[in-house]
Amino acid sequence: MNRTLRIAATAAVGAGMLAGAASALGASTGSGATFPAIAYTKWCGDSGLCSYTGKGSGAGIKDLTKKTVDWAGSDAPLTPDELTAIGGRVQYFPTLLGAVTIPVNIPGVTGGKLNFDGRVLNGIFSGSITTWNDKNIAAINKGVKLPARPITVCVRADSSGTSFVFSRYLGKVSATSAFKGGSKTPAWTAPVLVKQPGNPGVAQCVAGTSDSIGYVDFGDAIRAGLQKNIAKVGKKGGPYVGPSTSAITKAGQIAAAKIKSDLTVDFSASPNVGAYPIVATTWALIVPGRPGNAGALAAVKYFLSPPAQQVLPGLGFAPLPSALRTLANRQLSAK
Amino acid sequence: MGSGTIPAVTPPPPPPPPAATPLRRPPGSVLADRSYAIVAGLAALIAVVFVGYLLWTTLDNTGEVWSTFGVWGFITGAEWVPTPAVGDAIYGALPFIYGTLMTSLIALVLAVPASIGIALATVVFLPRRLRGPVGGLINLLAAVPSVIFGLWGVTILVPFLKPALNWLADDFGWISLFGWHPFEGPVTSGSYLISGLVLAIMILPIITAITREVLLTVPRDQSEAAFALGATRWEMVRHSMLPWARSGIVGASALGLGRAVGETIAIVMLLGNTPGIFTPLVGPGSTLASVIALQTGEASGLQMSALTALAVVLFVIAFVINAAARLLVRRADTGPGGGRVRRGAAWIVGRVCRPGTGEAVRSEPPPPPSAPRDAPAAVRRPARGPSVISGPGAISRSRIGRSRSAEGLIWFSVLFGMVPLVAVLVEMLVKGLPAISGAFFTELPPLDPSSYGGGIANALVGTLILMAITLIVAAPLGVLTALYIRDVGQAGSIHRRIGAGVGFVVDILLGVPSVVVGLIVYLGIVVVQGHFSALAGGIALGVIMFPIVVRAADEVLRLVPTGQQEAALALGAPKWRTTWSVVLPIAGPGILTGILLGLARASGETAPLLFTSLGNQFLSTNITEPIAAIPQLIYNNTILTQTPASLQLAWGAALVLVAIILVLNLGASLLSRRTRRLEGRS
Repeated sequence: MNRTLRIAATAAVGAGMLAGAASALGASTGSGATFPAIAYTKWCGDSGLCSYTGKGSGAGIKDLTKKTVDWAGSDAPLTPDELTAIGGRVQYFPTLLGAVTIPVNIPGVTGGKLNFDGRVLNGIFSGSITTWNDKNIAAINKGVKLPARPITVCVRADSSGTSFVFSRYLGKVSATSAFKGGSKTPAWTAPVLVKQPGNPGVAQCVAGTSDSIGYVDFGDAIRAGLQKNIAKVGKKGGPYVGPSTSAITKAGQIAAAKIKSDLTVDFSASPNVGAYPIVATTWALIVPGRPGNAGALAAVKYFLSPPAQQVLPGLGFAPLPSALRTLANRQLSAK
Repeated sequence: MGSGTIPAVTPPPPPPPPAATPLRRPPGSVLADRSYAIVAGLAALIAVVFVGYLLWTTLDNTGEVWSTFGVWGFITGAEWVPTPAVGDAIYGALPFIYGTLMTSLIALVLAVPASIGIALATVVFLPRRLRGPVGGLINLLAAVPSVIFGLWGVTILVPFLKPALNWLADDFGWISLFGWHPFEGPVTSGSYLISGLVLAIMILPIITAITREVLLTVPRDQSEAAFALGATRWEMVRHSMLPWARSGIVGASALGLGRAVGETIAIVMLLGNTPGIFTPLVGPGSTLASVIALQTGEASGLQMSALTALAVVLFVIAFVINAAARLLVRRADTGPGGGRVRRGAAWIVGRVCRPGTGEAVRSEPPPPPSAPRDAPAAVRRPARGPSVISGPGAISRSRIGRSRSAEGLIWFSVLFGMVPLVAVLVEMLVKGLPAISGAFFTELPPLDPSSYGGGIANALVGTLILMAITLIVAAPLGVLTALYIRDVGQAGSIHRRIGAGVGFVVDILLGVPSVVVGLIVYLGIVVVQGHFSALAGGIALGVIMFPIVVRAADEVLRLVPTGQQEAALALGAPKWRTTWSVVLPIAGPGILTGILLGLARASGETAPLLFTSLGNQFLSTNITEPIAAIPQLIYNNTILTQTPASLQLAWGAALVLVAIILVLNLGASLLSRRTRRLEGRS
C-alpha cells in the first residue's frame, strides 16, 4: 500500500523525479522460466529488491550468458553446451517446489476420481493408448465407466519447464518411455494432439474439449477452475495421490546427504508415503564472481527467507524442504 | 558555369517551359537542393545498411542447417522434430511454408475486398458526416494488440463458428482438389479457417486506411468529370477512381500481407501449432513466424540455425510476393499513372453517349424536379463536388442494375468488415471498462494474479516512452526514405532507379517477423551495451514501424499530381521548395496516417520487447533501464497466468492502448485540418 501511495504521489510530481524513484526500486534484474514467474514477481514486488520477466528458461540462461541480466530463473539444469557458453561455472539456488497436475475432462466422469500411473500416462502421451476405455486405463480405474471415445491430448506449444518436468517424470517411471531425461519440447506422438501456448492455454484446452487430458502446473490448474478435474497419480497398484501443498512438500523430504552438491535435485516419483509423484524444484541461477552480483544475492536471500516462502501455498507452490533450504542458504553465505 | 552548376537532382522538367530558362535560381537553392538529396539519400542508406546487416546476421547463423540438410532438402523437408525419441533431430520447412501461405491467402482473400469496400464507402458512399468517424474507427483498430485478437478468437469466435465448421466438414468434407481435402474433418478448435479469418480482421485496418488515403488523392476533377458525363456513382468509382488507386491498393495489400505473414501470437493461439502439409483447412497447422516465436527462446545449436533459416525463408516469401505485386502493377499501368484512367474515361463517354442522341450530356440543364424515377438517387447526390448534371434518359436499366448490385456488394463488404471489428471493440469496452478507475493509472499491477484492483502505471508510462522513441526513430527516417524513393529524382533519373532498389529492400523489412527484429536488436544493441533498455525496445519497434511509414508515404507520394509540381518548378522554385510547399501539403495527411498506422502497429508488439526492453515490474522513466509495456502486461495476464482478475486488467490495458491511439488520431486529424485551412487562407 505504502509503495502504491508513493508511486501515486511521484506520478503526480513529474517525470524527472520519477526516474530517481524508479532506480531506487528494482535493484537487480532477472529473467527466465515462466513456471515460477508469479512467485518471483511477487517476491520482487514485496521486497523491492529485483524485477523479473518470465520468458522461458532457455532465454533466461541466454540472457545470463550474455550478461544482460543479474540472475536467471530455470526449471532445468544447464546443458553441457550452455555450461560451456556461460564460462563453466554457475550456482543453482532452489527457490520453491511445484507440481505438474493431470487435468481430465470426460463428460459424465469426475476427473478427480481417475487414477493414472506413469506407464499409462506415457502410453496416452506417446500414442499407444488412444481411447478412454483402453484396458490399461480400465485396469486401474475399476468401477469407473469410461467411454469408447478417442482421447484428445492437450500439450504445450511453446518450449516450457512444465513440459520438461512432466516428460522427465514419464522417462523416469516408464521403462519403455521415449522421453528419457525430459525435454522442454518433447516429441508427443498421440494421434489427437492440440498444442496451446502457456499453462493457461493448456488448461483452457482441457476445460473446453470433451474427452481430453493435459498437463498443467498446479497453480494454473486451480486458477483455471480445474480442481475437480485433476486426476490422482501413483505407482502401478497405488496408492494414487492428488496434488496438494502437503503432498508436494512430502515429495521434497529427503536427507541432506542425498542431495547433489550443486543442488540440482530431482524430486519426481518420490518413494515417500503420501507424496505426489510429479514434483520439481526450480532454480535461480547466479554466475559467481561477477561484479554486479550483490543485488542478485540479496534477492535470492530474500527468496529463501521465511516471509517469502510463506506466500508460496497461496500461489499453488510449496515451500522448499528444510534440508534443501539450509543447503541453499549455506551456498549463499559461502559466497 | 552553365549546365555545370545545375545538379543532376534537378534537371528542368521535360519539356522545359520556355519561361523557366531566363529565371535565375537563387544562389542558395542549388546547395539546398543538394542537401535535400543528401539527407533523404542518407535516410535511405540507413535502411539499406540495416537490412544488409540483418540479412548478413541471419544468413551467418544458418550455415549449420544448409550443410546438414542442404538448401533444397531443408525447404522441402516435411518434418520438424527437434527432440525425437530416437535418432537425430530433423528440420524441414515445408509444413510451415504451407501454413504461412495458406493462412495469409485466406486472410488476403477475405480482407482485400472488404477493405476496398470499406474504403470506398468512407470516401464515396457513406453520408459525408459519417465518413470521418468510420475512417477513424478503422485506424483505431490497427492498435489492438494481436494477443487481444487471439483472446477474442479463442473465447468468442471459435465457439461461435464451430457449428459452421462442423457443417462444412460434414457436408463438404468430400470435396477434393488434386487429393487435397480442404474441408475434411475432424474439426479442431485451432484451424486454418479461423486463423485466416482473424488475420483478415487484423490486417483489415491497415489495408483500409491506406486504400482510403489513396482514394482521397484521386483528383477531384477526375471524379467530377465522370459525374459530368452522366456516370453513376459506381461507374465513377469503377472507371475513374479504381484505376487511379490500383497501385496504391496493391501496395496497401502488400502491407497487410506483411503483417499477416509475420503475425505470431494470434496464430499461436488460434492455429493449433501442429505442422502438416496439405492438411485440411478445418484442422490445425503452424506457420513460419509462429514456430520461430515459439521455439527461439529456448533453442540453441542446430535448432537455432534451423529457426533462423525459417526466417530467411520468410524473407524470401515476403520478397517474392511483393515483387510479384509490383510487377502486376507495372504491367497493368500502361502509362505513368494514366493509361487506364484514360481508357476508363473513354468507356464512360462510349456508354453514356450510345443510348442517347450522341450529344454530350454535359450541355443539358440540371434535371427538373420531375426527373424520371429510374434515375438512381445516387447519381443526384455525388460523392464530391458541388452538384452534378445527370442526363435523364441517358442511363440504361442494365447500367442501373449493375451499379446497384455493385453498391450492394460494397455495403455487404462494409458489413462483413465492420461487424467483427465492432465486436472486438465492444468486447474490449465491456470487459475493460470495469477495470478502469483512478487507481488504474497510478498503481502497479497486483502481485497476486487472483486479486482484483491495482493498475497499469508502469506499463502505461513505459508504452508512452517506447512510443516516443519509436516515433523519433522511424517517422523522420521513414518519410525521408519515401521522399528519396519517390521525390528526389525525376522519373528515369539515377536517384529514381536507386530508389526502386531501396523500395525492394524496405519490402523485405515488411516481411520480417517482429521476433526476428527483436533478436537482431538484442544482438546488436542489448548485448553490446550489456543491459536491456527502453532505448533498445524503442529502436526495435522503430524498425517494425519504419517500412510501414515508407510504404504508406510512398503510395501517397506516387499519386501527387505531377502538373502542380511542374508548375512550381517552372516558376523557378527549387526542388526542395516544391517538395515542401507543393508535394508535402498534398501528401501530408496520407503520410500522417501511415505514421499513425505504423506507430499503432508497433505499440501493440510483445515479442520483440522481451529481447530488448525486457519489462519492468516497477515504474521507470529511465530510457537506459528495462521498461514495462502494455502489450507485455496483456501477454503476462493472459498467456502466462490467467485469472478473471488478470483478464480484467488485460482488457482494461488494451482499452487504454486503443485510447492512446485514438487521441493521437484525433490530434493528427486536427493538425491536418488546420494545415489545410491555413493553406486555403494563404
